[in-house]
Amino acid sequence: MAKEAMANKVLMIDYQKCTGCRLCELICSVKHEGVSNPSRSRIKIMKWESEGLYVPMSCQQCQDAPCVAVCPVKALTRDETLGRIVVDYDVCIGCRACVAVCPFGAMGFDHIDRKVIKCDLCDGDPQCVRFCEVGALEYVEAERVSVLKQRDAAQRFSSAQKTAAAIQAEM
Amino acid sequence: MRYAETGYNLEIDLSTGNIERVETDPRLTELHLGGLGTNAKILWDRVPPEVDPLSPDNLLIFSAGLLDGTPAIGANRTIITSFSPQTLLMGFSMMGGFFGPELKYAGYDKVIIRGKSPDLVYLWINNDKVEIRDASHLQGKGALETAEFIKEELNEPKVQIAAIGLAGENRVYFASIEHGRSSASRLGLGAVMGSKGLKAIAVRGTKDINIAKPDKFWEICQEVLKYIEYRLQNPIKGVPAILSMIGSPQEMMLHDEQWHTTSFSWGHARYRRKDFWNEEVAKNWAESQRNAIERLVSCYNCPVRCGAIIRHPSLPTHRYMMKCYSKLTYVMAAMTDDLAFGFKIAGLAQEYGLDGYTTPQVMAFATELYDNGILTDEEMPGFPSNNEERFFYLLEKIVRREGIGDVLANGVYWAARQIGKGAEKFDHNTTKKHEQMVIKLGMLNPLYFLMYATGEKGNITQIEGQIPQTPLPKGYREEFVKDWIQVPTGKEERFKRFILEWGDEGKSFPFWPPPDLVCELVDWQETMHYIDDATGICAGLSSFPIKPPYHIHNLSCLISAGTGLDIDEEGLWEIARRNRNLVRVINVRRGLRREDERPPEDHWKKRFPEYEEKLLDEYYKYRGWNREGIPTKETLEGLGLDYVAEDDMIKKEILKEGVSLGGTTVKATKKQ
Repeated sequence: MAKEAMANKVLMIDYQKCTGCRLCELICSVKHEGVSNPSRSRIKIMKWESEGLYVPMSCQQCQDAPCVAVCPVKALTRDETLGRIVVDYDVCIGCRACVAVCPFGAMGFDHIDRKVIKCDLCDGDPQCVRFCEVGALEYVEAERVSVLKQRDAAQRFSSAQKTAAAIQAEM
Repeated sequence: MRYAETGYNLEIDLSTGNIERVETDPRLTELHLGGLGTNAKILWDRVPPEVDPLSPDNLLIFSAGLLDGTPAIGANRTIITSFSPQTLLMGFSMMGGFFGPELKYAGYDKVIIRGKSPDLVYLWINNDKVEIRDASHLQGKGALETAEFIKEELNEPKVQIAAIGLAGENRVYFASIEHGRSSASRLGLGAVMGSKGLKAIAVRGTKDINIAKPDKFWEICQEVLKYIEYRLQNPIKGVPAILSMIGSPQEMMLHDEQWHTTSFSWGHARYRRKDFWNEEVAKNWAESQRNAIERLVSCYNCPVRCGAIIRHPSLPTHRYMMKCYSKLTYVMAAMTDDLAFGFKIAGLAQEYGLDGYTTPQVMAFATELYDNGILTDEEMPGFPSNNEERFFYLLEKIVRREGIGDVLANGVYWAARQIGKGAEKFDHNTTKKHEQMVIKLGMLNPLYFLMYATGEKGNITQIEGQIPQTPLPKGYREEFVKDWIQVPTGKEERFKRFILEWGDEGKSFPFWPPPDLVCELVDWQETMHYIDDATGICAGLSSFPIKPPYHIHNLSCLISAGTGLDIDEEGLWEIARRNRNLVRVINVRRGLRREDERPPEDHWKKRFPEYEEKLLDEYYKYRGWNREGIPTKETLEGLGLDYVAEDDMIKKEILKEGVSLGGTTVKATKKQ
């Protein structure tokens, strides 16, 4: 894939499709740490079991990233080829200021290796996306996200309109 | 380093409050794998046969499967084992969801609970920190509600909880242990938990699970995922829709219930309604289901969506989770045509923590006794006339053990004997004192005869699998055997021929197939379950469906790559056989004998008593058991179970080889 195209791709999360199986967490820990341990995953499913609500949470690779801004040693930088924020572990001092400042809680701290961890988009082939059978995670061009969402929202409008028309016809 | 497993058990004594983390013997993994296998070993070693299931001396074991917490797709089962208050035999019940893997991440393969707490408590396992906490404020709370309270109290969003409801606290013999997404509901282990004064176990873990050969392991997992995807898109042809898929029967996704409603019995396992299903019912039921189901959900590390979130405004949590056949059990037992009733009462029963299989049968049994004048308004004051209302009435009585509920809470077998006045005659659907599947058929099925008779689990669904339940239509047979990769090595020719010929002229039950092939087919079906019960892989991906993603070939590779042990197909078969025999001798020591091994009398209309005896003889011989169904000394020694053969009672019974025992066997007695 051309680098320009990759630079523009983001992780698109559709929480309505997530069935809460957490396979993504497991895959992420296997891929990055070589062990099974969802607590070391970069992606986390937040759950409200009694409400049937499951929301995958991961790094948004913000344009104006608070983690980059707060880092006192400039260990966090923006990698333009993949459109992601990366940690330079040779520079990182492990102060966790980035963990404190991330508005999504997406900057994690690995309690075993004692280091900050975040989604690196698996260098352009996110494994969570590859193994999410229900399609709750997708890796798509940034501008496609809103188009796809617009289509889904429009579909809901259109079916609501059909229902309304049917009710009117019955009246 | 230990691979796949943690190598530690958590030992909790609720009488003394003592908590210990105990390293396990890795040799036991080689012999039994884990889960049910090692649970059985612990029960054999530590619970003498005379121990009453509800006494403090009984153990309650929550075990993760050997592969729980690894990337093995669908390895998420928790295998709970104890002695059942209902059957007095070994009781084990399993649940999916997230509990088993979380326990592994906390650093334990099992939690072994003994003793009895003077006050209601719950257990909080947070990695190395383990606490016994007061649960007096949770007394009488629902099982699902309890989980929400604890989550809030601990302020730990990722905690996993297994809890009992009112039924378990009141020691109802068919009380379940609930874990939101799934329940361990068979054989009354919720009552054992209640007897120990334990309301719930909460667990949170953040440790690593190591894999011996990660690359190989991951390669097999990916193949399994690929096959799952293939099977989801390619249902088996020539079998009812409900049996064509993988996972737990996809009854949350499918609306077509023709097969269950017309093949299974209604009421107290009495009546078939062969013409029940029609277009109008199909339409109404589809609508009820659409109204009830909010969305489909999965268990840990599994892409199949067997469960559903059901709306239930009157529950404290407003929702509950359901899967499989439980939407129908109450509906059919209550002889009502309204599926919405099923969704409503099942949710309430789940909150109370009751088994969705046994409970409706007990209620239908009570209704039958009332209609026949054996139970009257004296025992059941204010008993409604409408069946649906009757079921709600009975539910409340049972979970509180109030009035007649105190008797019914012991299940059909014991209740019938306590009520007397001819009630015993209405106990027609139990085997080994436990309610069986509500299915009544015509011709004796020799395979199912053996599975029902010799099975030591609560459910036929934990024994059956792999092969269609009726002959395939002619046009489908060739295609079926073409890619039947699941068949064990060496059996390909025989099993494929069975499928190709079954249903031809002269090739039908009960006398065909010949007993030796019947034994082999039964052995295959049951063995695959015993492997899953040890690994924690969901039967829905492995032992239960036709053409599952996991089979004897890839399971031996997966277990080897995960644990670093060198287990080939034959080795795996032998471990399953060892576990099977250990379960058997535990029950033999508690009084199980040949006379107990009978499916319900009316399970088939056409029975062949002499042939059935011959089938049992053949199967016992095939298994290396004596005439009483007791493993012989040679069988036990061949499996490395020499210490079992040395047990005084087993020794005595083995010596009786070939001698009719008549009625002289010592049976476990019941304190009432």
